[in-house]
Amino acid sequence: MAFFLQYAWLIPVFPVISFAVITLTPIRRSKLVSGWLAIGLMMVATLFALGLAFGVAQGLHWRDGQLIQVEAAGAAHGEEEDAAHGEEGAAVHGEEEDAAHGEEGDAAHGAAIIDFPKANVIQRFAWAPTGDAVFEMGVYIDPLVAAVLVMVTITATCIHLFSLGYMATNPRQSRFFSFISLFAAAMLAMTMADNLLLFFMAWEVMGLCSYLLIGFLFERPQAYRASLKAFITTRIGDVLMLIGIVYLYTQAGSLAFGMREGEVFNPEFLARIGSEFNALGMSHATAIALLLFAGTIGKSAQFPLHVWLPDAMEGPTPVSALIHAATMVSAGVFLVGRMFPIFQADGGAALFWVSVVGAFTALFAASIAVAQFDIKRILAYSTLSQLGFMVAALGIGGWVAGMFHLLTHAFFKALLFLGSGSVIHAMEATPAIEKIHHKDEYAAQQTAQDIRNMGDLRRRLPWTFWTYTAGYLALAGIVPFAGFWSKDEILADASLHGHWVVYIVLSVAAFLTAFYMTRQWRAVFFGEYRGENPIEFVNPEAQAAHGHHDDHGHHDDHAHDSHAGHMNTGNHWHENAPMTAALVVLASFAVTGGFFNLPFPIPGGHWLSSLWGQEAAKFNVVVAGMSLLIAGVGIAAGWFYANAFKTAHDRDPLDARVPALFNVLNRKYMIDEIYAATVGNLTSALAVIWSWIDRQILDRIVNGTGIFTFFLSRMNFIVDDTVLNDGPDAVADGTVASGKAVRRSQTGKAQDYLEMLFAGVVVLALVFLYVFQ
Amino acid sequence: MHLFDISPDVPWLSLTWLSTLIPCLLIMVVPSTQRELIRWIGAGFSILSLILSLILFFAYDPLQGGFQFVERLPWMPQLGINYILGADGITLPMLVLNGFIISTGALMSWNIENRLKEYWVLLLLLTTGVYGVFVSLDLFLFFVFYELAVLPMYLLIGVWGSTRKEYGAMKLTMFLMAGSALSIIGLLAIYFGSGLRTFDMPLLAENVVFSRQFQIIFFPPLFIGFAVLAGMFPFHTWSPTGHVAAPTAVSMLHAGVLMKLGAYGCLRAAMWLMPDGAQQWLPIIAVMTIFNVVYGATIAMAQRDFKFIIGYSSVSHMGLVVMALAAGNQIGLTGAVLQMFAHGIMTGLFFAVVGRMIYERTHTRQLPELGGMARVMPFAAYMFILGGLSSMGMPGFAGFWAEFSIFIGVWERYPLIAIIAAISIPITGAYILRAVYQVFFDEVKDPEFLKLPKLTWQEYTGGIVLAIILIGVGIYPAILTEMIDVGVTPIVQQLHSAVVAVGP
Repeated sequence: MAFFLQYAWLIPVFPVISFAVITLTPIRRSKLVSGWLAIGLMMVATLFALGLAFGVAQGLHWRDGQLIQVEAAGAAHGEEEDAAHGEEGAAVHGEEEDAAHGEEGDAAHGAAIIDFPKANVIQRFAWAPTGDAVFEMGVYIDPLVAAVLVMVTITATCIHLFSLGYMATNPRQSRFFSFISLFAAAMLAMTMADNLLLFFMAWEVMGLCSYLLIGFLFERPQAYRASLKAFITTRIGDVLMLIGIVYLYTQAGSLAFGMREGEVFNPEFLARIGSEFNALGMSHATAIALLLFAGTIGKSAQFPLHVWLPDAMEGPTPVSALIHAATMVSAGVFLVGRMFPIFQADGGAALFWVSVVGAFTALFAASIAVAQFDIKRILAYSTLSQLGFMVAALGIGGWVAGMFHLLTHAFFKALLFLGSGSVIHAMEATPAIEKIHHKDEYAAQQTAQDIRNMGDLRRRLPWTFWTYTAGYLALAGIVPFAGFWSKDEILADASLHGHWVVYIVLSVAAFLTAFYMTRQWRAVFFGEYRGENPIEFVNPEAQAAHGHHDDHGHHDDHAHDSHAGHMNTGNHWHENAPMTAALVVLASFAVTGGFFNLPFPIPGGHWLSSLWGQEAAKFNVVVAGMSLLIAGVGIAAGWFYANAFKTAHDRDPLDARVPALFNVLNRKYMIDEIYAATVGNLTSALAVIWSWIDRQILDRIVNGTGIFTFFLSRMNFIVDDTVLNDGPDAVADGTVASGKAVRRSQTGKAQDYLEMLFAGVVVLALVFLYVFQ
Repeated sequence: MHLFDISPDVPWLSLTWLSTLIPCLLIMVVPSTQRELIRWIGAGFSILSLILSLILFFAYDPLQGGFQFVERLPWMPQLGINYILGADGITLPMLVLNGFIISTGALMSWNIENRLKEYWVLLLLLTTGVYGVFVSLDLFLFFVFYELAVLPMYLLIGVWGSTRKEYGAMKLTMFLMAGSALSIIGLLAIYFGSGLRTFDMPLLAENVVFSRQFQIIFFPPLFIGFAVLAGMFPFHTWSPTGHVAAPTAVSMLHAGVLMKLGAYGCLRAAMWLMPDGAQQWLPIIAVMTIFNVVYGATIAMAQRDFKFIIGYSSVSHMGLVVMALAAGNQIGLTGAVLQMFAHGIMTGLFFAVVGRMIYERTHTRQLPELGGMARVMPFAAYMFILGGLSSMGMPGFAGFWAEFSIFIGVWERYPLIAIIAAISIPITGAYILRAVYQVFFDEVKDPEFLKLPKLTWQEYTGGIVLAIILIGVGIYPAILTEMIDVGVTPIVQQLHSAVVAVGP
């Protein structure tokens, strides 16, 4: 165990190695070697993370080069030990948290401030001396970090494995592996960061990887646009976050996590920024927290910066699973969880806004998901909604619930995305889609993702079906799957602390979640297979794409998100072994993930919350019963709703933008008439409205801002070119004559030029000479 | 760093600037038919100057601080003009920057055939001037070298340039001459106002306290005179046109080093010698630089000419330097000097890619006419993307540390300005990524591009060297910041004591 604690910092180094090796060495020529290299190193990182987590779970601490056993992790705080500052200064050294706080922190301010347990490992070294302070970088591992590390490494390994099958025919598969390795490294480094600057650096690198991977299929204009949209939109949040970091730095003089003097969670410091006000009449703590939260809004795609995430589905499916479902998007939630003391320092003003944004996004996104037909987009909106749950949980003070949901959601959402990838992969190999593919590969892929063209896949893809079902039940919140326990804990926190508005909003979102997931699940796996006569996606850029093919088709033939289809003409339904393996591993977590924090007073109950040193939310039969009821009703509604999918052509493609109309026309298939007439109609109406707001208003605002900026740029340029430029030009015209004279003196002989220069120097000297006398 | 000691008997700093003047003389006597020989002399001595700068860089002792390797010779003692050289923590990163830019610039100049001999003489003369400015501690000497650096630019652009070269060259020269005229006023004022009749900068800084009124009057001409060369709004329009018109190596030197001379002059002459004036005027200057930073970035977004994009991005980035100077605190000045270095290397890489690798082959720089270059020359694409990432402040690249320090420094003094300036960050991302897509990843617009000549070893070497520095400083910025920190301390102390004396 000591080994894993001491060498915890190696965890992000492994994926960095695979990134560097694949990028810099000729290994990249072999897809298989680079793929297995990335997978192998990711597995080693997983091993290290698991070893670390076991050590941390046993209450082991690594200090000053030795292992210390603290009886129970929960009891770790309260103990007081002075930080042993080594004289070595810049050298790597273990440090301890001085936990002399608690009462004072509380006394200084009305609200209780979260009490993080002592970090199990802190290793720091000097990085950049800036000003008087020496900036230190290092790793900071407490039980929360250890849990997130395990989640990230396991999902990343599964997704690497899945990509081996999924990206097999892509000519740039090696590059793909180098990018996702870099991404995994950044995510791990961010999780382990011991200060906000390192956190931000890793955060930015993740944003870059996200950009590169969304635009991985850069031959498609849609992918390029989506990647740019994602990068710029998240960067707006990042800039505000950077300002927040700068603000925090100027207040605290440091960005290091920890409670000692000069570190950002120091109780006196928190009390000070919570009670001092800036020029805007906000306390420093509120301002800093809201600026940091802007980063979360961008990265975790919360309203109103959520627009990029659905478009990010243009990236290959493993990317959607890893980056846009399991890890990167939850980084924003992790940021709030990590900086929670700052958010609490002002007595709840900042957290109020956090809960508002989170709850609103949860409901807003869930309602949009109801009106989607693209299997990945449904999951994307679902991700937005679930992230909203986590953010809302943090906003109402349910720190454990939010972090717990972050972990369980990562597993089951990664599973769902990979399952959808498996479905798309199989769909693309069907003859009907293949036929479209010869004309336009983008349209073929979009057609393959349309759930109206699926159906009855449970018999054709049994492994995918069973694993997908596990993920679906977890997301829908059915006992005993992982999502039930974590979502229930959020709702229990909301009801316990009297946040009734949040409770109701989240309950409605939970209902929608069960509803749209059931609709999708049923459309994909049940009913009749509708893919023989698919509803074709109309590519608005088909003409351009076609011309593109004519010019240099040979480059693009295989550069797409589809694979292995061409040779599968006989029985085209098949499931690939590495892909299935990944699904099974993730499914096992979707089933069991909730048992790590059962809300009962039994051995092993409240395990995560006591490990994290927090008060556990108590099990509330009424709340749990209510949420089960809500999920049950949502599932029932979705099941009947999805009954509508009999053939792919139940509706005209032009109607696709008006799902309300479509639903009204097809409601006759609904068995429970009254239920469908009220709830079904209401949900689809809501969905249409939100979808319209999303597409027509928010997208327009983003586009309009872009156009306006371009307009401003043009205006600026005109001003620049006429006013500021032509003024000096006029002066220049006046000197044209002398300019001509100078040009005549360009004899082309360097000797002449030199003479001229030195003559100039002499003249200057003479001028000075005369002036001085 | 202080990795080793060097003999104090050797005039290292004189050798540094002489190491680019000597090849000028050598090349003059070489017959112009010996083309390869001329190139090798030029490149060889450039690399020698780089090695000398690196020796100085690693021999400097930051613990001791102050000016080291000082050389003093009387020149015109009756006028108080002396030959004084010295190097401190600000100077040395600039020397190393100049060494890298001229060495890689020399490699990028291999394809110059027209009036080859004159080209190399002027290029090296320009470099000599730059080295001289950075090492001079005597104001008069400083000014002599400054003029030496500015003048060859006119001919280099006018003769070897492209796109409206006469216009660009003339505009550049006009602006810089006007700037010089302003700074001469300031220099003479210092000379007479001090009562010491000396140009010795350390002596002036330590022993002379100019009256507050005097400083308030004479700080602006001195500062703005130099800030013109740093591209400060509204005196920046010479810079993009100049960049566009200049041949590759000259663009590299121009944006990479010459604009830094301006910022260096602001810092060394204006702010160090007249701290009271600085405290009075810096807030106004900070407001002006908002235009540089945000307005420059938005204009860059509207450009279609690849070099104009880089040109306006230089305006924006150099604006950050001047903004950080205006913050006048330790971390701000550290960030400013680091940004000078980071931007120099980054923009050198940009112009090497755009000017040498792409324009010299395709003969167009219009974004809509290019496309698919990643397929034709993947190396150029990698280099440009690395430079672009540094430019948009991506962690792991030199630019990130510079921008981060600058934002902290500016926030401490002018939070509102820092927030407005931060708008430029997403805009920078947008224009860089747009250029990257249109030039490197869009469809190939002209089938001829698929048959372009391959890159030469000089281009590969130059690109790799610059890219390694960008990433190296990004991963371990302490290699520079430790030294810069020591270098800016005396200036910050001067400014600080000015605040204390004046009071709020």
